Amino acid sequence: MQTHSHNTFRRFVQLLLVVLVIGAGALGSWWVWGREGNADPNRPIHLTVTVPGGNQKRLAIFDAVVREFEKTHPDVKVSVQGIPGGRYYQKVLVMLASRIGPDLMWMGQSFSEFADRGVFLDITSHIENDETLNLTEYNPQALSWYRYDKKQYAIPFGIDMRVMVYNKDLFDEAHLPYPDDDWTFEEFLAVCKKLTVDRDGDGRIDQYGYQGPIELSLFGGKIVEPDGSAAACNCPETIAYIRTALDMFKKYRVSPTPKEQMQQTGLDGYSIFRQRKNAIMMFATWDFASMKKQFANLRWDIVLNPKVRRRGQWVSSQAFMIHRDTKYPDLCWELYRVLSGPAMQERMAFMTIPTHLPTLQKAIANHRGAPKNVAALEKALDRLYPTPRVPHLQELINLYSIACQSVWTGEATPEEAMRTAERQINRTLRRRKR
Amino acid sequence: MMGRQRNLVAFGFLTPNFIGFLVFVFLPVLAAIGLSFFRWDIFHAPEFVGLENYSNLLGGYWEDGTFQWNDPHFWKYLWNTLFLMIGIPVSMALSLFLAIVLNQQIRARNLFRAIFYLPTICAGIALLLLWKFMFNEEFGLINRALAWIGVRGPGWLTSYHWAKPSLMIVSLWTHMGGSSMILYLAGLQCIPPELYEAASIDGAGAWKKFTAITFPLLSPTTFFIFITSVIRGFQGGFESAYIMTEGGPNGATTTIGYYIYNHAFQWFNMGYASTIAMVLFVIILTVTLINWRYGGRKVEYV
Amino acid sequence: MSRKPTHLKQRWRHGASYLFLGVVGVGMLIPLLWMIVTSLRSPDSDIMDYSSLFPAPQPTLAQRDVRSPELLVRALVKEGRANPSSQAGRIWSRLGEKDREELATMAKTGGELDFFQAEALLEILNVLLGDPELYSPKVFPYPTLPADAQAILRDADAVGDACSRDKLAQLSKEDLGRLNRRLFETVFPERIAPAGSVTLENYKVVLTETNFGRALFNSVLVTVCVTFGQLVTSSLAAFAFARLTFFGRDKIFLAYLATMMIPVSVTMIPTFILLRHLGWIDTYAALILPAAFTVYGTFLLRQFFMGLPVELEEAAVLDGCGTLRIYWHVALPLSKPAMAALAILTIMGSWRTFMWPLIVAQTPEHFTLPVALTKFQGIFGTEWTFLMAGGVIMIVPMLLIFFFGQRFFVSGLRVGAVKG
Repeated sequence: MQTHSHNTFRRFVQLLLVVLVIGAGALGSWWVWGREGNADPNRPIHLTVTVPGGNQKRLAIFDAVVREFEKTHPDVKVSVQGIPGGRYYQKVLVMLASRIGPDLMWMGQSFSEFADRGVFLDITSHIENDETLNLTEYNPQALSWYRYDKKQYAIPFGIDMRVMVYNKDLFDEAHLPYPDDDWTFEEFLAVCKKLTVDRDGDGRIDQYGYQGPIELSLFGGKIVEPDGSAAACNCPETIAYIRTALDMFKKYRVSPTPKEQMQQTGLDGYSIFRQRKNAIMMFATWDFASMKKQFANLRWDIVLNPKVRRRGQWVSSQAFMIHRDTKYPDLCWELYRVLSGPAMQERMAFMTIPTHLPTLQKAIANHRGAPKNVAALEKALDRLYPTPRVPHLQELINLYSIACQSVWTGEATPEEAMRTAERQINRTLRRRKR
Repeated sequence: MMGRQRNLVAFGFLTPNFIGFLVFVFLPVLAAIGLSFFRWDIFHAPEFVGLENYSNLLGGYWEDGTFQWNDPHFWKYLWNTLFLMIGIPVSMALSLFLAIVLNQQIRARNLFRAIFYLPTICAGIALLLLWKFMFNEEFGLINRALAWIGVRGPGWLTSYHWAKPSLMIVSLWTHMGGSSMILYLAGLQCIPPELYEAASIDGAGAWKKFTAITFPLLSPTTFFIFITSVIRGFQGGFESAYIMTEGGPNGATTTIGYYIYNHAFQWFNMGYASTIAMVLFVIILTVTLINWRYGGRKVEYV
Repeated sequence: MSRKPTHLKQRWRHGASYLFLGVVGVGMLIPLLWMIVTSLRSPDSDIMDYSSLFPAPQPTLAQRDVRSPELLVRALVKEGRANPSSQAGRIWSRLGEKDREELATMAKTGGELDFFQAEALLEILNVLLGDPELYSPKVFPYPTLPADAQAILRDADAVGDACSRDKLAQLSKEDLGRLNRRLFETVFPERIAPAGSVTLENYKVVLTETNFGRALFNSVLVTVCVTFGQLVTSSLAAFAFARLTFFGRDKIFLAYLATMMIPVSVTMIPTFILLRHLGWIDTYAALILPAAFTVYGTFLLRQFFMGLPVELEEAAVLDGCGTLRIYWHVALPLSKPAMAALAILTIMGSWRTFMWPLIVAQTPEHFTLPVALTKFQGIFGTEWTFLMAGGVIMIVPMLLIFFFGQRFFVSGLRVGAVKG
């Protein structure tokens, strides 16, 4: 026993020693490596920009624009951090909460949640003092989304729009004309019915006419009041919307069950469309970059929403924000102008819709390849329905969408569900009121 | 040794860990406890609200003659969490079985161990994504296989009743060869082989050996695995639901852990999130103490 | 004693074991295989397409397909203009007026194309790939075509005289794109790489575009330090909790255990703020220290130490050993399997941990592998093939450590104990 246990023990000690040596070596090299950059007192000014990761081209564009900025500002080093998309807001939140936020940060739809809490720099005076900037050239509606109490917090660089994408080959096979931007819901439904096919006759539909949400705004429906004071979902319009959405898969059977964000987000959505599981599908402009690659084998184009009670498109927007506590507000503004300016927007064009109107027109004129119908995006700019930017938006929408799901799964009628949602939203609002 | 000296020696052993524990574990926990009495949106200064968070979470009110919870979702999600924990004993049994099989003198033992540990190594977004594909109602692998034998598979992740079992399958598959198996293997290594030899001479069969030697001697390990699994079970279910179902359909796969995450990082209700965490803490503590009292007594230390 | 039945029984048992292990093992192997396959596919392929293991790549051109785009542009412009009846001339003639101008300016500027020029060039070429009139039998006689392009024409019944515009226009976009791409490859063989179904592109991107070396170094450093810290501090504390009696032992242990019951979501921000006050944000200390003192390890080793036979310890005490020597010479060697298990679990856990490094590391200098490799996961679309390549890169070292590590650790004690 003695010798053997001694033997094992010796090996154990050897192992510990090996670990120690590696650890010490690593620590030593850290001493050399890790501190290297901090030694120089005259180091250049560092600015940090956070953007969500993902599409390589998007990241490359941000990077290229920033590198150009660095060329004109040799004393500035800008680091663009691509943060995994799923955790983007969480990371930014923690950074902001401990006041070490990035100097500039990308913001999408969750902007209002942050703006409400005063973490962004008010750029109104910068805008007024900048002679090179002509705000009238920008989409006024998109600008207004970033105005709080007469303070401007951002100049958005892109509008994201949800549009229907259709597969031209499937329309050809069914001898249907391609849809028109001025179509109505009845026409849409008729097309969907014709494009819903059970190819092998096993009673299981192989190709649906349409997959995706029908926009709430087409019905004039609301979730919360625009001022965020109370729930507004228990109204006939919203209920009509839910009823129609339900009919799409229950009554007409032209759509798969609304899995809302469950099976159609991200990659599965592309695969489903690419493998001809549906003829028309809801995507958004931010999908275009991926779709260009994913749908290279298909003939596809975009079309605006059909008219239900009115015409409309759901939109969101993208903008950079300057952190209120940044050490270099003026420098940030210069970088900001580059990151949101026309040149950058032109390069981003149709991964997101330029907000700078001359750039938009130029981009439409210069556009080549799929989707052809980019002019429709400009046409839709006067009928935009963004989700209202009110405080506690995400939490309220969550309550609403849970209620909707209870309708999809058959546990509640639209009326019951909206009554529940209304009550819960109002209770939550009362609770969160300061 | 004198009592005082004994204390000193013991604290000497404890100190390196204890300091780290105090700073990096205990202090933040204290902060979280404190926060549960505040309303804090992370950006503004916390505002003391006393027990308001607790009453918002646990209280109820009468409306039209029926009782309504202030936060009905909490109870639903608590139930979801408990339901998903049914998988724990099954997973532990499978881990033990795997460990016993892999503890035999068989060829390619190390290779098999590595293979079974693979899901734990690979775990993460990629793997959950694969499962999401496999569960796809229309053209997922599972439903295709079922269709082949003439069964029409359900929408695994999209139907209210199948979503929870589906997540349980995923967690079972991921965890049965994971840390529990490793710990059981380590536990099995610690059992002196003489005991089995003696039992063989007494003519004991495999099952008898298992019930008389293996299982009792593994009880400290089992106890540990059970306690940690229960703790994790109460807190877990976030990753898989976040990626595969986003907590749906109709909240069927939202667990308390997910709910806390949402309040903390999506909805900026840090105080409320802490309150839920505290209520969860009390529940876990109660369960653990019961385990300790009754389960711990049966644990045999040689 | 009858030897044979036991032998037979053992055989049966082994057979059953292998069957079981094989079946379950295959199920466990699927994810890794899937990740490897996906990571070898072309970046624009549909990762849910299982019509074949490596589907033919999309008939598009990406930056990676073009070698020195500036030379391609110059060749295109020069040859296209100079010789209208040549193959390059045909391509040039199918371009729109505006595209020709743009290419001409690009060719004139000289030097390398910047990112945006290269993108514009690809856009122009990709539109051309969908052009049914790019192929003309006069310019590209059938026999001069590569075999696969010939096959496409044969399938479309568009060979030789039968080749008409209508037939080509009826080609599926996929075949048309493939045909046209082959034409490009034939005309500019030096510039455009032939499309392959299996590609190492994903690995190349992951290794070059993520500050990979630094992240690998960070990950190794953090994992080694955390594991070492855990093993040392946890085993010391566990020994105290399991083998020593002292004032308030069980209460302190309960406090340890209780902290495990609070979810990380609510302690994350307090911990972060604490580290900020310590000035440790974006340092290795922040990556290592909070992970080096876990309750889990202490609890685990305590359980194992409690299982050690008391007699050994008593014998050691009689021999006049101090507490430290008992810990060092008795408790540790005897719980080697447990230490090994904790080491493996810690290494794996620390190697994979994502959330905390993501929050704490602010500059790429302190990113660990999981943080660096997930930057391809986006809000608007994710580059799955890159993500999978990153995943495989992450897994391989762990698999090796696990495979060889367990042999090194686990078998030792067994031998010692049997013979002892």
